[in-house]
Amino acid sequence: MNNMECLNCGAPVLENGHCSRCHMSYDLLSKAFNTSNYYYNLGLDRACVRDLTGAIDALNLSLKYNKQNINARNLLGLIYYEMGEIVLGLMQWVISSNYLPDNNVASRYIEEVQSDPIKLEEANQLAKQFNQALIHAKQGTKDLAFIQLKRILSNYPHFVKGYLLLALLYMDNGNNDKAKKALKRVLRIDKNNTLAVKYLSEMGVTSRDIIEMKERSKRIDPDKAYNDEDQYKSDLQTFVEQGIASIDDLDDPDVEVGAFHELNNNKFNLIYVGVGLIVGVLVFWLLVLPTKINLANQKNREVKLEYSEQISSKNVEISELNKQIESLNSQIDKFNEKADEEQKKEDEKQESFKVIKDNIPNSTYDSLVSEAAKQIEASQYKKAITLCDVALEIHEGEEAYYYLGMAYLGDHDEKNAKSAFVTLKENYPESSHIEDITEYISE
Amino acid sequence: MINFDEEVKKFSPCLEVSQAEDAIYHNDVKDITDVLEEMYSQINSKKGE
Repeated sequence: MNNMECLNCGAPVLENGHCSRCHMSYDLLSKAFNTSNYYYNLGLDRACVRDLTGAIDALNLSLKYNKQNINARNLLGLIYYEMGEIVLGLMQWVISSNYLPDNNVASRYIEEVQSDPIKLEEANQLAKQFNQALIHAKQGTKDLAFIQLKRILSNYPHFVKGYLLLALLYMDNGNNDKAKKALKRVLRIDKNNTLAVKYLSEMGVTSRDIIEMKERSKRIDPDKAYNDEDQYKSDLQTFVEQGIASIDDLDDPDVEVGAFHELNNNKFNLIYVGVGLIVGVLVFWLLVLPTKINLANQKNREVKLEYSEQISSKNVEISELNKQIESLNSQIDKFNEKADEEQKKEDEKQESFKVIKDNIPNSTYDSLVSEAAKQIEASQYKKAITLCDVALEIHEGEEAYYYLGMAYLGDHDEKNAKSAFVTLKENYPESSHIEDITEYISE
Repeated sequence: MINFDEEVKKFSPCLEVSQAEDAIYHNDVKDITDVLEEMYSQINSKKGE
């Protein structure tokens, strides 16, 4: 027992086989640690043949014998990670790296997961979505549970717990074929999943068929599984070439695990697009359209207001113009009244003049004519013209026309002179002055 | 025959990231060493009495 260290605390072991510090029995601890390693090896063997449930059982036993068995804990974390229980896997690796901070592969695993925050968030979302699906399943809203699980499994095709719940839902729904398909995928990931074997047996699948399913087990390629875009294009092309029935054909239980739910997802994509369009139209109808209508109404109101203002200003102008018209009309009336008065006065004057004219004696005419002749002789033609005009106002006479014509001639107004002579000739053809004026008329 | 309601009760929720820290701190799974330590401490306490 000399030079031996305690497996628990590292202190020297005494002759009696007990630790000098913690008093643990070296033999007992040694056996416990050996047993732990045995179960670790068992777990490793099972993990290598994809008996993940068996491996988990063995590794948990290994940790019960020695919780500081780093290899067992790291492998347990790895298996949880493989089965889609990422947080459980992380938990094992964190505990492992706590026991052995240096030269521990768990630290690298943790770094790899933590270096991609999106992946970590996706893992968190996976857990949340599964929990939500489980709540739906327990509450009886199975349709929602179906939708949630299909979405989860399209992103995480090796999430064993999701497949098992989905299979249970299918079985409850009476859709045993799809349940078998889901369980088949479970067995491809985890060969000896007890729950999957139990469900298959309940559905009447023989042990031989179950063994066949297990033999086909292979690891899922995560890169292929996550490549939704390629899968979508492939499905779309198939759909275009062969019609919608081809999509259902793709839902074959023998296809690889990674393609399982992507097909359903793509079918839903068409529905999602349709629903999205309807929602878009509704949003436009309920939110955008009322806003546009309000804007249009507001513009209309503004235009109306503007026109109303213009109309009111025009009305003011019209009323002002009407006032002007009224004032002008009143002025016109006044002018008309004045004109009438003037006309009246003029008429009165004319009448007075006529009265005077009628009362003027004939001698006046003769006097005016003789005076006009004198003025012509004196070469005072203007005065002669005035005298003749006055004489003609009293009454017409051949002498007055004759002297008027002569006065115009003297004044070098041949036109008026000719007019006076023509009047004389027409009215008094027998006049003694006809001979004298003939030469002027003929010109 | 499988009873859906009974079976679904057996499913436990997944651990979320926010719950991981608590789960790690409360991870009090005992191994053989813990059991032996507990036994020794009980024996020693009895001896002391």
